[in-house]
Amino acid sequence: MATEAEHAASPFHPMEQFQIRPLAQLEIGGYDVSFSNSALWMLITAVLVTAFMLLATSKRALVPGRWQSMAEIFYETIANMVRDNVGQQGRRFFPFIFTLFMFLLFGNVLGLLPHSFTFASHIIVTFTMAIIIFVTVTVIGFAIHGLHFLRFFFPHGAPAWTAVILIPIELISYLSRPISLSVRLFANMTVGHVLLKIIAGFVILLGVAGIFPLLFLVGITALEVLVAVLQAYVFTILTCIYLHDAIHMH
Amino acid sequence: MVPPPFGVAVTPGRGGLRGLAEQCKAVVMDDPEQLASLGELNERLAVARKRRDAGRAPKGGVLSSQGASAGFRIAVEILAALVVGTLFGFFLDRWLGTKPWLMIVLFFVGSGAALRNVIRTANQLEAERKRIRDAGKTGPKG
Repeated sequence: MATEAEHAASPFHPMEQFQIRPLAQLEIGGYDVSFSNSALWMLITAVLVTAFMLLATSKRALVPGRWQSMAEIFYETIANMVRDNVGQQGRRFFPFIFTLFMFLLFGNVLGLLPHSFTFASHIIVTFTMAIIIFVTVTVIGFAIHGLHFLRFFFPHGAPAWTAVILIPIELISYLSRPISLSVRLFANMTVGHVLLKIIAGFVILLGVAGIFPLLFLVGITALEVLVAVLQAYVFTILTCIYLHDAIHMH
Repeated sequence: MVPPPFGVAVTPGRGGLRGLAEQCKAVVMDDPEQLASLGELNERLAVARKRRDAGRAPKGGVLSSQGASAGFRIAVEILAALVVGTLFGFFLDRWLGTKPWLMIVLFFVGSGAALRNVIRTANQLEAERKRIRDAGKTGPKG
């Protein structure tokens, strides 16, 4: 019987790809803050996004070239998203939303490269992002509306006695936002990568007949690219919707 | 000389393409038999288009995966509300020593919140769908 550790080390183990490996040991104040493969890929993502945007827009041509067109497509997509979902007051938050989208998009797509690491496949990463968004949005809500923001938890026009039921429901619904936001991204990325790994394992194990799972794998890979882009988009659009709720209160 | 398409000679040259089109129109409009066969063609085209569109829309690969993602989105919303409600109850119980009552009550409150989340998500999806449809109507850049 193979032990759990031996299983995890096997190249066919579907969860092996999610292991965090420290690349440079580091400890500050008793906390392990080693530079891991997850951190490395976050850094690569951040560097690539910055390089892409800086280089693509460096010419500032009136008639955009290929690279500038790509940068403009991303920019316009997110600008439209912010305008449609948050409204005019949302323009202040455009840099944040755009950074969020590009980071997730590049991170998810880079994670599909062989031997890379998908940082969004760890719930602690997505949950940290979600909780930061959640707290920020709540603070923005209170900053704009003051204590009036608490009206958010009680629908307009409902009889006063229903507050006993409605306020807890709205409160839990509101508190469940960071969970659903983070779980959605994390689960989609993890499930996709596990599926890819399992089917890739079949390709090797089946020998010549492995051509069939290989064909299937091509389809799944295409689907995973779609999921990677779509989930970055969904995460961002939900952030916009939460912002809209905080600014306009419905 | 163009071979007569409708049994009547049409002479090109005078008035260029537009003149040719007007001549053809005049020929068709004058002849009730030609008009009837054009109407028939129109009907057949309409039927063919409908068949083509029916085969396309609901089955498309991208669309069906969008359906899956919408379903997943709603499932996660339900789960999140239930988990938050139940965990809140669990920890409040531990804190206040009222085991297991708050957990039970907040589980049901969480179910209500889950329903609220589902309705809200469905509205969002509908709004997104509408926006995409409207954008498609006014052109690709809308």
